Amino acid sequence: MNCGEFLRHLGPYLDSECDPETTLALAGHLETCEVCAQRIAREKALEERLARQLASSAPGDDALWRRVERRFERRTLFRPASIAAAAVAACLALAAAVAVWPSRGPSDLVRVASADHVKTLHEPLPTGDGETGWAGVEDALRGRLPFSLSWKGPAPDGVVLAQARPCAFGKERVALLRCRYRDTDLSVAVLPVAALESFPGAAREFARRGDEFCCGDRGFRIGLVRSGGNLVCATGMLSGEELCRMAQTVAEGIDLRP
Amino acid sequence: MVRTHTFLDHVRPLQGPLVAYARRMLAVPSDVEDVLQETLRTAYTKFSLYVEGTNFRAWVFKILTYQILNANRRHGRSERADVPLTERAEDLAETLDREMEYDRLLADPGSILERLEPALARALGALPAPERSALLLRSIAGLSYREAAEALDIPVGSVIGYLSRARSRLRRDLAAYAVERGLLPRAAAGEEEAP
Ligand SMILES: [Zn+2]
Repeated sequence: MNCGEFLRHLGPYLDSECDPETTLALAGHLETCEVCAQRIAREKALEERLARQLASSAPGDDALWRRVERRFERRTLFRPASIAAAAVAACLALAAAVAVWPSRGPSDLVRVASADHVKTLHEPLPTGDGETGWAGVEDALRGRLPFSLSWKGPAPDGVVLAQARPCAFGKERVALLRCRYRDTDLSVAVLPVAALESFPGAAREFARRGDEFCCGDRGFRIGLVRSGGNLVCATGMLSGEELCRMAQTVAEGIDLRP
Repeated sequence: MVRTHTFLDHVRPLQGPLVAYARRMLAVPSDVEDVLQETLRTAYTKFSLYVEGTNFRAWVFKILTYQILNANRRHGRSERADVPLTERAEDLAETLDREMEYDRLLADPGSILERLEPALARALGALPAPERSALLLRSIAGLSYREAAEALDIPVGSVIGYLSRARSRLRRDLAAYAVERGLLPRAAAGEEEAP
């Protein structure tokens, strides 16, 4: 192989796309030709530099991606494009989402928890100074629930508590903690474990699967944890394991008293 | 059974390349957000068809490329899927060997390229769509020739041709621009290399 032949393969060689035979021939030439060896080293450096420059991010890319994900979550998961009226869409999308979950088992609790999550996704969350914060849970909920709630643990890593408010799950009153974690909106519902009486499906599932399990599919999931006297459901677009971990952290950090 | 990974778990690691590719490819910058959103939506509805363990990256970039070409077409940009490779694909080395300025760019790319971003954007924009996407699918998305061919729906041979042409045009434009802006000395016949 001569220098001319070698240079004809420059592009594919840079891309590691030459067939084995050609690669061997090229390597052979490189061993004997200082000029080509130097050329290829320089081309490689330029190519890498160019690729880095082409792939470099611009200011605002992260914020842009967050908006894309958020719009994706809202429109795709909860509003099928074929249905125009938003309210109808939300109900139907929820029905569709729940339909892929087990029809028996935890679906009674899962259904109300996810319905609420779907609803809250459309409300803006407070940011910055308006955020409740983990230490503010007790004040935010004082006198608004049949039980008192305070946060005793350290703040969960990376989880911002934006809002705490009471909410109804069927005839049960629950504390709804709306959190942000890695740009994902989460609803974390906290209720006394005794409330399981109102959700026989979920109670059976706990009896069968232990104190922690998750269900859901296609991006939207719920993690349920029973720990101490607390029952916690974390809902959102995280993996089941992440939701369970989140629910576990809240179940351990929350002090719920009748 | 619950899938091990959610759709977004698959997509998130590609955030940087997806945004950069869309930004570099789209004729109208304000399209970036809509096109990415539409790509996620399309990929999500087809996610059940995606086979776990196969190349998710190539699959998503194929969808994104399709969305981008459509968006550019809507703005009246001609984005023919195949620009015929009339002559033999130019060899990267052959075309550039005659360019002394290029030789200087090659000697110290780091310091110069940083200051060439406007020229890079302009040179990219001047490339025909198939050349631009072949180049970016390779350098930003990291796709192999075969994957890029699949994403662009063209033969592997065409990818090689487009890529080669795109590379030499880009390098030549950058070198010329650098000389124009005084970032590289103008090469004179018989001139000695600076020590
Ligand atoms: Zn040689």
